[in-house]
Amino acid sequence: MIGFDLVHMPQATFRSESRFHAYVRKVATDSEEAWVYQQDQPQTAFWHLWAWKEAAFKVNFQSGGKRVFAPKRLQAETFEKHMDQPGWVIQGRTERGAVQGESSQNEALISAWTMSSDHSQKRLERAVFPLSKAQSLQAGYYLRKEALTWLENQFGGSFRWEEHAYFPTLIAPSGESWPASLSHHGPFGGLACVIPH
Amino acid sequence: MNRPEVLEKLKAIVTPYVQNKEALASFGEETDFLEDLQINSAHLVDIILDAEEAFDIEIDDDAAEQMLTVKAAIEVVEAQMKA
Repeated sequence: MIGFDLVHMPQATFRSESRFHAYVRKVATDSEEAWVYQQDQPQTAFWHLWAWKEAAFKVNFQSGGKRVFAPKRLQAETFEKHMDQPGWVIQGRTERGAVQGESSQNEALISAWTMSSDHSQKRLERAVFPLSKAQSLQAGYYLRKEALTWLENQFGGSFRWEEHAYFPTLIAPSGESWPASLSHHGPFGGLACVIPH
Repeated sequence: MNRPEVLEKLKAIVTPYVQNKEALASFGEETDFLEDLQINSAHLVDIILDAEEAFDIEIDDDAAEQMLTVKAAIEVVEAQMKA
């Protein structure tokens, strides 16, 4: 299973400092809250944590977990600075098991992808697409379309999405389903997928 | 405050965060915040915080977990107002 999330930083603002603190209280566990406030830029750190939690939620849901808004049940336990870029390698737990993830920050964007350990040796592909302002009104629809175009250019053949309760399933040209996760925020959308051997 | 009044107040709270404005026309108890209104999940936190202020209540983590639909949100608000 794989989860993916994007945060567009110019839109990820808080109306006040007190609102930021209230957000942290609602989303972060005690140990996560301590980590956020220990960082040089707590608000940026918070969005890394948030993106990881969103990605972890998607893994949890696809693994059979309930669709509930319960960010504190997704517990990030260790944070290590990314070796190659600004960002974090985060390990933690969901109700369905341990998950590991990475976040990276590229200018205005934070992305996080999280894979359960059984897919850790497989190849991960990640792509980010701009969505125009007009498209962002129906971002989900256009994101799926853009993702198919990217996949077809990358791998050839015809890909499609199959609708399921909350997350669509990616069907490859061979007919098998590939673990995949979509996310959009502001003018950006993204896809992460695992390419089976 | 009766249930229709809670519904109206909730609609006012939610409206700034709605991406699918057309769906507001059919805003009702069966409306799903994420799927129908296409509210960004980060704004679920805003909705919870705004509801706490507007209704002068505290929504704990267990209650917040349920708030993915309008119906669930109304029930959480009503329960907390009685508490």
